[in-house]
Amino acid sequence: MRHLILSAALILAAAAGASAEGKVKAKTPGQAVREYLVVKGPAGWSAEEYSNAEGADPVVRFQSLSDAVVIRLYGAPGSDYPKAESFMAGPGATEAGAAPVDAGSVVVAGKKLALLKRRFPIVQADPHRPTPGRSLMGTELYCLLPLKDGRYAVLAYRRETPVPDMDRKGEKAWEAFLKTVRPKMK
Amino acid sequence: MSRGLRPVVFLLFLAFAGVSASAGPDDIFDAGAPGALQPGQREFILALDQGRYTLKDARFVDARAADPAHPQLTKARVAELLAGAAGGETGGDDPVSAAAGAALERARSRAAKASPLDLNFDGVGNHAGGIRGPLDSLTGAGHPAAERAALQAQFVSRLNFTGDRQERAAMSAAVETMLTTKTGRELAEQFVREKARAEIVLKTIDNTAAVEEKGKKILSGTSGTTDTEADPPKVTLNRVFLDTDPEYRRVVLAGTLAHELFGHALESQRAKKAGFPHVAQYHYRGDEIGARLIDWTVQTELVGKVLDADPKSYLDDPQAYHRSLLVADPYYVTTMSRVEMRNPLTTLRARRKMVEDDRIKTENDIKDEESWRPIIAHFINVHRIAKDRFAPAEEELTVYLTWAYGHQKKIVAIRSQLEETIRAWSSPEGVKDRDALIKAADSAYLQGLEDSLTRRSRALKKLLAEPNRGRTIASELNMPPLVITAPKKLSGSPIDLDELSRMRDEDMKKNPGHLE
Repeated sequence: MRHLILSAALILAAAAGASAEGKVKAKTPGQAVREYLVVKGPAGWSAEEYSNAEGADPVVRFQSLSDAVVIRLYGAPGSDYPKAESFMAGPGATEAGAAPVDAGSVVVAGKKLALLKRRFPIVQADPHRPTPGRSLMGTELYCLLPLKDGRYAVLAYRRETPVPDMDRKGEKAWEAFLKTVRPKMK
Repeated sequence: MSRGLRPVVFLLFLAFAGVSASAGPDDIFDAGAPGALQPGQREFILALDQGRYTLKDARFVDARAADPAHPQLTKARVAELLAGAAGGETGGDDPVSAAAGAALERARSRAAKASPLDLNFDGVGNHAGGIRGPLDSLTGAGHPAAERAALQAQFVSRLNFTGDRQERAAMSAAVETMLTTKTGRELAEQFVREKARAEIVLKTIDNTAAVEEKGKKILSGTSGTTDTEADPPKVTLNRVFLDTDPEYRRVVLAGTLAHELFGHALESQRAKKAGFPHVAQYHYRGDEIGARLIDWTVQTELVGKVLDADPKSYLDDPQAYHRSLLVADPYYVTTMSRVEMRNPLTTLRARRKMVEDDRIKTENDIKDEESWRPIIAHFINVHRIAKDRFAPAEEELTVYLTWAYGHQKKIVAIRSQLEETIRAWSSPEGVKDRDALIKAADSAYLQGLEDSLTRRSRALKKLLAEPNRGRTIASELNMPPLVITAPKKLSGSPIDLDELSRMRDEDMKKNPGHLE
């Protein structure tokens, strides 16, 4: 098995100085995610964790060069996206306000989930000096996994460059990652 | 309004203000009495005649009273000030709105007779004269015109702006446009209430230009800056705005003005009052994003979208956005969150790896990019696909490569900035700054600022999610549309990188070893 256990990766990330933001005191973002999901990050990828919405929306992110696998947990009290519908209407699910593209389906923990695709702008310069012209766009594939207690996870593979991956290493790692995802029932 | 109508107005005023009709008109007006004034009327009077009237112990005091021994305004005089102002021809049906319109009209008339040099922003009357545009633009729903006019007069009296006729017109329009927005008004009220000040200049900023995008001239480069160490803070707005498309200028200049004036000039004065050190303000990452949120909100309130930026990356995942900024420009690599400010040196040292990772990533992406050129050549030479069909893919590669080479140079500057700051904060001379940052991390001021960022961010997210938002100007003025390219078959259609990637996969399946 060429995967790292998530908890081990998160410990490494913490040791590397990755900091948790927001008001989470009792739990780190990684711990908050692990309450609902068991996953294994791709081997050799760096891991970091953080949260938005003052700790209500934890994120765990694995990265290798321009590829990233991101787990976002929503639905907690104070969440920016308490319901899946609100997430789907927001900037993290859409492309410049337009609906994402249907990219087929994936099976995660025995459930068939819709796979969606969208492009997103890559921060490429100081936004204080906007320069017209074509924006660099990355590509994201994502699916929504319902969890206990009204929570849901957005599982995403992000290619954070407009240049396609000729060997599709990132996509292969993402597909392998999805097979490791196990929601916690209790 | 004719003199003959004034008694009627006075009676109406008394009834309106809840004052007994038996009260004498020569009684001293009590502004503190319940219902004595409607919202905005107090501010309106205080804004008249360059601050001639002030409030003391709930009494209006006339600095130029005919009888200095009796400077307090009587009920009749207050009624006259309010009602007399309503006599202008531009007044609406609502007497309060009419009053504002008339006051402005008179000021405008005075200003028209003044020399151009008198038309600056450091005087209520003179400034009001500089306001251009239809008065009815001041009468937005939910904010009485008188209140807005009073706010506008008070607000601009706290700004010092000098410039030629064209610059004054642009500034007046920007102020007026900004104040038509809810956020602009709220912050202008705070600016006035907190007695903030600012100097504003329009000046061409280096490395900027008006460039054409979809047939419209828009600004390329920095739109504005604020020197927060100056007293009062000095806001520089890019004069190149004057060469841009009028509708673009209307929206983006108003947003930029709000960004610089409220996000930086006002905030720096608040920080100063709170004893929050300048070094902490410079390194706190929320300083810039706070100003940007104000800018984005003002633009969205005006036209339902942001014309010169895309706030969605930030709104989608603020932490990831901040992280990406760290390697976008030298300034950002030393900015920090409140949590990181508690350990500034540890934070910066950890960023050495982040910058190095970004260097490796960029180098790798450039190599990947170069490997797509032979694939294009293969389809042209072997599959006989017309070269011009690959124009979109070629363009994407060129745009990326241009950025990537520039980014490689920027990484050098980012690293240099990082090391310089680490060195400074590790030295005895830098200890003071470093410690100030650590202390500031847990200040009440910073906590309040963070809370304000959260509120603004949520409000903007809601605003942008409203139905039909973003449809006012459509895409004609905005950045190129971000259209998802659906997979296409080889039917003569243009081929972008997505399609090229799909074609390559198909070719490798059909012709194993073909692309080796």
